[in-house]
Amino acid sequence: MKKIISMILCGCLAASLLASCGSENGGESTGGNSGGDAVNLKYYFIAKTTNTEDTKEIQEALNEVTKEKINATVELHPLSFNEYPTKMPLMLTTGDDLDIMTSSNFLSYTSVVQTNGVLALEDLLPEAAPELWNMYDQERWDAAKVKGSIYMVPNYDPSVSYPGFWAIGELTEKYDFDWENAESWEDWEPFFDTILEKEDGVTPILSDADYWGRLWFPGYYGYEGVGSVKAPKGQDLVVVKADDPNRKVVAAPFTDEYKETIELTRKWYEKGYFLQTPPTEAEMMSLRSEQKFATFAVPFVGEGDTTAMAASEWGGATILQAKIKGKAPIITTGSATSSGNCVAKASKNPEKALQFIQLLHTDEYIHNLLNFGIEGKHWVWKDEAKKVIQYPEGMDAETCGWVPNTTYQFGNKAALQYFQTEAEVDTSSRVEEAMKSAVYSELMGFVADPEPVKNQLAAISTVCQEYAEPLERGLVDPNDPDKGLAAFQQKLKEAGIDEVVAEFQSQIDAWASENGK
Amino acid sequence: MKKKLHKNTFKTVVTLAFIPICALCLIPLWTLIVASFSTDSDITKYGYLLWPKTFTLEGYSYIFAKPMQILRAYGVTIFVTVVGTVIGVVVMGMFAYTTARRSFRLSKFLGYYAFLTMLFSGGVVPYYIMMTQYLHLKNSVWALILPNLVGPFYIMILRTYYRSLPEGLYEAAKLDGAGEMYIFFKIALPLSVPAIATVALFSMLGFWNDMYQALLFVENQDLYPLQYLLYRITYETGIIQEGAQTVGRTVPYQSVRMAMAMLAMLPIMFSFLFVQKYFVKGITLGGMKGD
Repeated sequence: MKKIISMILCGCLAASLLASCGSENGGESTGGNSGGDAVNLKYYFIAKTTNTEDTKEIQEALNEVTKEKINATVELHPLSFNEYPTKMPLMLTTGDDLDIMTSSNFLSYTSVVQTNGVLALEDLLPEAAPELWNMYDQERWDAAKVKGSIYMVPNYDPSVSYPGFWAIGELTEKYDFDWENAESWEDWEPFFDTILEKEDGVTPILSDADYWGRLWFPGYYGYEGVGSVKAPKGQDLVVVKADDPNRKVVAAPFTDEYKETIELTRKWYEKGYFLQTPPTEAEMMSLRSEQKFATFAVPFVGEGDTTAMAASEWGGATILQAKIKGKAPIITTGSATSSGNCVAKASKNPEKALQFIQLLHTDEYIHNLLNFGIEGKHWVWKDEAKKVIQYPEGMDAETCGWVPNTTYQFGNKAALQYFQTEAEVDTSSRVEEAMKSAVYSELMGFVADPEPVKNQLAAISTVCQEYAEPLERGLVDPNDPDKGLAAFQQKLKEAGIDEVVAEFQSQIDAWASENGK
Repeated sequence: MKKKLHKNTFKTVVTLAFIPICALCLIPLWTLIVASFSTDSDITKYGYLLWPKTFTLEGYSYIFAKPMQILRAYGVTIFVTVVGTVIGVVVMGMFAYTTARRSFRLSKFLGYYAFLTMLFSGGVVPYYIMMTQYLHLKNSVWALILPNLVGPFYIMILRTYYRSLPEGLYEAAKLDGAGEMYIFFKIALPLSVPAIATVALFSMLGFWNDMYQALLFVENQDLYPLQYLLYRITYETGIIQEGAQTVGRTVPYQSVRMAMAMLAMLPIMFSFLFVQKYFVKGITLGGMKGD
């Protein structure tokens, strides 16, 4: 009996030793860091499907190029959407062995910097990766600054958005409505009147109890929100005009624009453009699939492809993306730093790491290799001239062994990436066009610190939920003495909106003078 | 005769009263099974039903789209559960036995040593450093086994149980010439089967359901345990559903989740049947019998 036990214990010990040896060897055999040998970089990123064998093949293909171009090999470490936000901060905090990692919505730039595990790059960048450094406007680098240091190379994935409508194409065609030239909310009124009159049971604008069915979108008036002062699901209410050189902070409910918008919303509500009782989200979804509506007012009509959404959620209708053209699109700190690549402090070769990031921004082959895999195996040309690709015969997104499904993640999407559908070609040229007129927000690089006014913010959020939500959705009369705009403004003052505005104003002024703006 | 009749009526009444209660316990499980065979839109529209409106296997077929992956995950989980439970029970049994023996000088100290870990822990970061930088257990199947091997609470159950055996038993065995090992394996162990079975079941459930270790330490997809793989699939269907516009098809999110719960639950549910007979005995004996 003694023997058996000691054998079991020895077995355990041996096995764990073997396992640990194995992982160590794995790390070093591909590495080697002396003299002219290629250095090894560990690259961590988020990916949906990455089968082990496909990952190996792509890594080999990648290393052929990187060895030649920057004398380095790259070890790919794709992590799934759920493990990335747990594992990465731990790895960064504990100084685990890695060189490059990506930041995106799943693990925000702020939380990455908070781990204190990524390297400040501003001194290294111009030296190690001059091409990358000169590629982008200074405003973009400013946006990535936290307390004066750049910790991330932001990816370039421009998107332009306006508020507007998703409209059902069959209806606009039936009543011959010139939706493309409808430039303001009011231009849509004749169409909605026709719908009310002629289409039984069809609501002009679909709303729901939580969020949908409002017209107040700060971006429409060129405002950028500061410090997210709002109802839990509402719109930003403390804002700065993005092109205001004085960067004056205002509380939106006190502006004329806000008043006009909620009055318009109320008018539309009374005319019956919205359902009188907003349906629950589930009811809204089923109304949507039965097409019992004409349009859907959204804050972010982008330039994306809507065919798939139409098929899955809109009962196969044609979805038009109708913009209400406000001011020129704004590039904000948030949109410029929504994703990027960081270099870990633990990296032994930060210069090489930056050079690899530079390749992600300049090398078409590498960029697409990481996004879509190997030509012939994971994708084939559909139209090589237009750079449109598709899955090979008999393969789709479910069966393909390499579908990271994170096209924003690997560097310069706008310049390098192949298109997955014909529609994207069109979209991308429209985005490019719109980007020419886009303006950088005067607040580029500023991030508000809500800490000093957090008590007021909590109170304001409650007031917004009670007053702003019904007002913005036309459910109450703006002139109502108890629940109208005046009452809302009064309650906001009581909750301390003035202190919040003053606090953010002083933060912005301090930030501006520090950064010589 | 009269007395017996009385007893029988009582039994009948109790049984009748408990049938609906048992049914109430079974209904959630049943609706889960039904939901796993229902279409997504039915679940959204009608909620959880007692019989599927349209019978479908789409939830299961979505999960089994890559059968090798699931089978491998089952393999990992079964390996971890079996090996972990066996080693764990042996280690905990021996530890509890030594701390239960009053004649052993360090028994008190070791008892507290185990107990302290229930109250204090180093936190995630030191734990992570310990596991990866000192023990080098990243991406190893032992990272799934070692951290859950020994539970102080289980040790306490076993220890109380061993304490309940009369000390004289050991002395008698010693007089007859038995060594410590012999006493443990031939005398203490057979007498403590109920307690051991209880602890084994707890520990088995622990290994079967554990996902956290994999989340922290496993990167290699071939080492994913079942629960973690299922968690990952659910999470991704959620993401895909939110971004349905990019994928171009809907995912049966609700039915996938329910099918997943079924797959994760069934095997361990059956194992419960086997250990059940020792179960109650183990807990109550360990807890109540003093000396």
